[in-house]
Amino acid sequence: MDDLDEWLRRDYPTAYRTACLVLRDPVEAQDAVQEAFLRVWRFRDAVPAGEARRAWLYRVVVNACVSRLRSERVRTGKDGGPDALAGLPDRELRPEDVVERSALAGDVLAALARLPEALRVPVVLRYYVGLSEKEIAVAIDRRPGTVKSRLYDARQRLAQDARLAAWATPEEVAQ
Amino acid sequence: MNAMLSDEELRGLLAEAAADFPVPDPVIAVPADPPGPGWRPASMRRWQVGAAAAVVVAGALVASAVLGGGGPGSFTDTAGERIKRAPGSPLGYSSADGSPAVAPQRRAPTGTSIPGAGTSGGAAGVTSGGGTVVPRDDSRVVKTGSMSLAVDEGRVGATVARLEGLVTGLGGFVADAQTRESGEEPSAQLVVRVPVARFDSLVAQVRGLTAKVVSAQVAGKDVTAEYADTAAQIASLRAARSRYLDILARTRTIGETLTVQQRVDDVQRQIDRLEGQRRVLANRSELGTLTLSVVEESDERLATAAPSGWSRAWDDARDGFVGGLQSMLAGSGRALLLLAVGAVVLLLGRLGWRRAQRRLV
Repeated sequence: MDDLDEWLRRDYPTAYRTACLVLRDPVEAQDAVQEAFLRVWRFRDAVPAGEARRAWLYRVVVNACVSRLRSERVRTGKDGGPDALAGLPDRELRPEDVVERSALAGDVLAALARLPEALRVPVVLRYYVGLSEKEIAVAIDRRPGTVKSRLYDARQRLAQDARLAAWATPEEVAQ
Repeated sequence: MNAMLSDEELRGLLAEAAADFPVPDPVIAVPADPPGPGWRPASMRRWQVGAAAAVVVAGALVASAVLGGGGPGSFTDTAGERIKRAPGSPLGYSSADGSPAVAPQRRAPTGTSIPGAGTSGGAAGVTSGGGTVVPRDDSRVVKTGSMSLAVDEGRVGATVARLEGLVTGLGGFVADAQTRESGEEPSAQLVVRVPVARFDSLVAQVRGLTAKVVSAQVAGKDVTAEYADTAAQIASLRAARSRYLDILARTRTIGETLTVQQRVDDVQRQIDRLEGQRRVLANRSELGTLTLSVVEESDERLATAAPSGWSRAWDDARDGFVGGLQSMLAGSGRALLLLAVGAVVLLLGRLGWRRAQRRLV
C-alpha cells in the first residue's frame, strides 16, 4: 500500500486546506483530515482505483468535516461564525502583505461562512479542489443535477457579497 | 455588483484564501479514538441500515419465540398492585474505591438459588445450608445467599424496616427493594449488600428475628486465584502497552503508525476488559449479596412444605413448557407478518426477474 501512502501524502495539503475552508478552524481542520486519512487507511481495501479514488477521498474528508460541524452545533448551539476567523494563521510576508492577505482570506472565509453547509462544501470542492460536478456528486453523495443547482445558488449568493466582489476584480485575481 | 462571479474569479479567491493556511506537518498523529471496524461512510444508504436493523429485529423475534420466557415482560408488575421502591435505595452505586459496581441483582424467586451461588463449582467454593466460609487474610471470597421469611399477617412492612435496620447497622445497604403491602398477597423482596466479613453475622441476625425462616441458602466462592491472575495479566498488558507507545512515537509512515496503533488499541481493549473483570471481582468479594423474601405466613405458597428437588425440577419443566408455548403463540403474529412480507418480496423479485429476462430476449 505504498501507493496509497504516497497518494495520501500528496493530497494532504489540499485536503487540509479544504477542511480549513469548510470548517474555518485550522485545528479542527487538522483533526478532521487526520481522522479522514486514518479512515481511508483503515478501510483501504474499499478505496476505489483510478479516477474515482480522489472523489472517494474527499467524500471521507467532507464527512469528517460535516460531522465536526454538526457536533460543534450540538455543543455550542451555533455554527462556527466569525469568531472562528480569529484563529487564522499569518504568513511570513511583508507586514503590508500580511494585512492584505489576511483581509482577503477573512473576507472569503466570511463569505463562505454565510453560505449554508450544503452550498459551502460543493463550492470548495469545485473551485478550490477542482473536482468535477460528477466527482462532487460522489463526494457529497448527491446527484450531479443537485450539485449543479447548488453551485449556481452558491455563486449567486457569493456575487451579492460586496466585499468579496471587490476582491474579484481582474487585477486582484491576476495577482 | 450582482453579476455572477466567474469560475476563474472564484478559483482565484479560494486559492488565495486557502494559501493563508500554512500546511502543518503531514505526519499523521493518531487520534485517541480511531474508528472501529464497524465504521461505514456517513453517506451509507439509510435503507441498508434499515435492512440490517430489520434482520436483527427479526432474529430477535424468532429467538424470543423459540427460547420463550425471560423476556422484557418478566419483571413487569401486575397492574393495580402497589409496588414501591425503598426510598434511598442506591440502585447504581460504587464501591469504596469509586470503581463502578455491578448492577444490583433482581430478586430471586422464593426457593431458588441465586445465579452463581451454590452451583459455582469452584474448587474452593463452600456451599452449605447456613454454613460459613472462613476466608484467609489475603483471600477474596464472593458470598451470596437467599433467605425466605414468613411473618404474621400485617407484619411485612415492619419486618422490612427491621431488615433494613440490620443491614444498615452492619455497614451495608439495600441495593434493591420491592414491597407489596396491600392486596391479597403482601410480600417484599430485598437485595442487600453487606461487607463480606459481616455477611455471616447478617444471616445469623436475620435468623434471630421473630420471622419464620422458610428456606435459606448461603454460598461462598473463593476467587483469590482468579483475582490475582487478572491483576497479573493487567500489569503485563500495561507493560506491553508502554512498549508499543514507545514504538509508536518513533514511527515514520502512516502504515507503521496505524499498525502499531492497532496493537495499542488491541492491548488497551484487553486491559479495559480485564479491569472490568477485576472491578467486578473486587466489588463482589468486598460486599456479600443476600436476597431476602418476606411473605405472610397465611400465604398459600407457604401452606405446603418446601418442595423437594424433584418437585422443583418438575415445576420448572412444566413452567418452561407452558412459557415456551405462550411465547411461541405471542410471537406467531410477528412471524406471520414476517412471512407475509417475505412472500411479497419474493413475488416482486420474481416478477422483476421475469421482466429482466424478457428484456434480454
